[in-house]
Amino acid sequence: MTVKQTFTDIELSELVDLAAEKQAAGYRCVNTHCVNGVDGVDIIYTFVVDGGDDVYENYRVKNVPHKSHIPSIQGSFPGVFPFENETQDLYGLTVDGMLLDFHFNFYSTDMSEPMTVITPEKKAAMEKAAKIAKAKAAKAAKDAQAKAAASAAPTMTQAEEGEDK
Amino acid sequence: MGKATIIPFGPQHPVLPEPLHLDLVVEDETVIEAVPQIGFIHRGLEKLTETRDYNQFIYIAERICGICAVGHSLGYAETVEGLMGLEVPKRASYLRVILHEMSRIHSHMLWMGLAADAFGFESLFMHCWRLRERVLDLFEAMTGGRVILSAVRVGGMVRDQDAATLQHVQEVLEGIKGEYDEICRAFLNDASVRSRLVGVGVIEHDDAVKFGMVGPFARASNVVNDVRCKGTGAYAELSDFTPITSTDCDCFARVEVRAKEILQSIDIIEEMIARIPEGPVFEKPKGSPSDGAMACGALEQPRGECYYFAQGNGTKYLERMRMRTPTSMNLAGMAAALKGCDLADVNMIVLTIDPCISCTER
Amino acid sequence: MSFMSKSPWVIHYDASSCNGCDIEVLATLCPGFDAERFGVINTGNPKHADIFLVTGSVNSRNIHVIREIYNQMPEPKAVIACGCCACEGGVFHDCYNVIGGVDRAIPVDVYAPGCAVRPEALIDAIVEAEKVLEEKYEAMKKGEHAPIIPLDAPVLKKGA
Repeated sequence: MTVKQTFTDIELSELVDLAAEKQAAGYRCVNTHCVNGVDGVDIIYTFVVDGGDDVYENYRVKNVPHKSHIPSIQGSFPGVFPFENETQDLYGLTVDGMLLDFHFNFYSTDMSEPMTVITPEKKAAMEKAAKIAKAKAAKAAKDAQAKAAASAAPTMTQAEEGEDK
Repeated sequence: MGKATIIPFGPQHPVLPEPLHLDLVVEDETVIEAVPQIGFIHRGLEKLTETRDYNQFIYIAERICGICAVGHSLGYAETVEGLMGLEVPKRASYLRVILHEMSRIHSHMLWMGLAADAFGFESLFMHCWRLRERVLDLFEAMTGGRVILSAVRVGGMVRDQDAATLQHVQEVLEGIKGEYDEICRAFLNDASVRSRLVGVGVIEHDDAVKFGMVGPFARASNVVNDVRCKGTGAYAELSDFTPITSTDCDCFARVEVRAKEILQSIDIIEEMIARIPEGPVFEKPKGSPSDGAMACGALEQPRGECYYFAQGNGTKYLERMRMRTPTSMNLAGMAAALKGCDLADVNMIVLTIDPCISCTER
Repeated sequence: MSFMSKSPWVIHYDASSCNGCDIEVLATLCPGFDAERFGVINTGNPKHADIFLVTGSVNSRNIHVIREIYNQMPEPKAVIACGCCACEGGVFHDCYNVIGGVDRAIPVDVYAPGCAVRPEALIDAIVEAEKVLEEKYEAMKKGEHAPIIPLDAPVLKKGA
């Protein structure tokens, strides 16, 4: 049993206004993090107000193109500087307007943008999953076709049975 | 008016158990600004979800931090169970809470010992850690490990505890109380200790809210924020729970909040042991998280609220696992508390946020 | 046994450990296991230390710190790698930011495995390190010295 939670998709342009609105309403920013995808990076921001209905509200900005710029919400929530610097270091997005900016030197990893690197194992797993999904879709289409053909046939036999009777 | 110098603090420092580098901009003996630099412990373990499936990843999750090991394994398991829609048997939830509260007791005692060492009271440090050994002996009797327990898995617990073991846990914790009172008196009533703690590293309530601080660090500035009030797992079955707060906002308040939380945890454990139901402790998870499913979870660890996020992709490997630990949220508060303090108080203030840098960096 | 191996002072550094091994190092020095009765004291100054206890694995950020501390220690000196992460990288050996165990940065004399390493294993490792200190003292008298590892030297081969 985990906490109450909601997930909503928003646009990147709505982000800064959403942060300001939440801050004015007494919310606390819990976390920001990214999920790497093939088409881009999803960024998820989470807010909660303590003592209220205790719902963790997660807002997702989908498919931000790799290596693009995103606005900072440190103006409303100065405490999120570690997460925004992490977004820069590990995912390669540039965050504009930060109050405390480490300029891609927060973690100083050996590899740049390591979380966007698709390793051979991950690639193989993704290809296998895509193959299984394709096979499943093909089978479902075939089953639907067979079912449609079967449902056309019994009407003739029922008519024949009626004639026999 | 002196001129400003930059003094590097860390990463190797006798009082810091972990590497943290601070550039302290100092004028005479007063710190004007502190810029933290981390990155010494970053291992990049969130990417390991690609090579370890959701059952194996729990061993990685509990090794994010040795002090909060139970908390991380518990939070990870709860989030993945939420992602897959699994129901954990009730007895397992109770055992999880008992282990987690014991982990809180050991963590706070560890911290109190380090805090005593930081302000120079070495024998008090030794006494705290001597008492803490009793709790570690209990862990060893229950799970076989002192620090990394591996007692929780997705679907429940690894092993059950019989009534005799739980009775022993209760007796040991009751027995600790007498000696623990003496230690508390040394922390809270001793004039020399108070002179090092009272009025040092003040963060007012409004600043605490602005920086989004969590845990005892925030509760000492009267911010009422504790995930145990939100009722997850067996915490929902507690008869009543009020977080311990203080209005003093200084280092002394933070010591006081943690000292009282140990007694509160002993009470919670006794209540859980008295009411624990019979039944199985493990329900084997079937299948894998579905593609695109997302779930989040939160847990009140000894250092504060820890947030977890899991996303599935249809295979037994999670697409993404995120663990946002309490110290990352408190770094901004720490930098603010260091402004305007004496150089000699820097150790004390850095320690009062209860820094767990290995949690922050993962 | 010469005076060199009685009451060795230790310096402890957490390279990229999860803290489990670090708190077990401190627990070894506290009542309970009490290595202090053998004269072992935890010092913060590398120039006072005989034994270097390192926990956690090595990455490009902390390799310089480890080498810096090692170079500053006076001879004879011994290095103990505490815990599986310090020995070989542990469970994190295939992470993108982990180079390997401590022996990729400096030469290691004693390996104490465990996750987290138990205080009994650490006391055993300190006793082994005392024997190493004896040998190094004899070698020092004959003119052999420990290498100074330059901070920007390449990563050492495994098991060096």
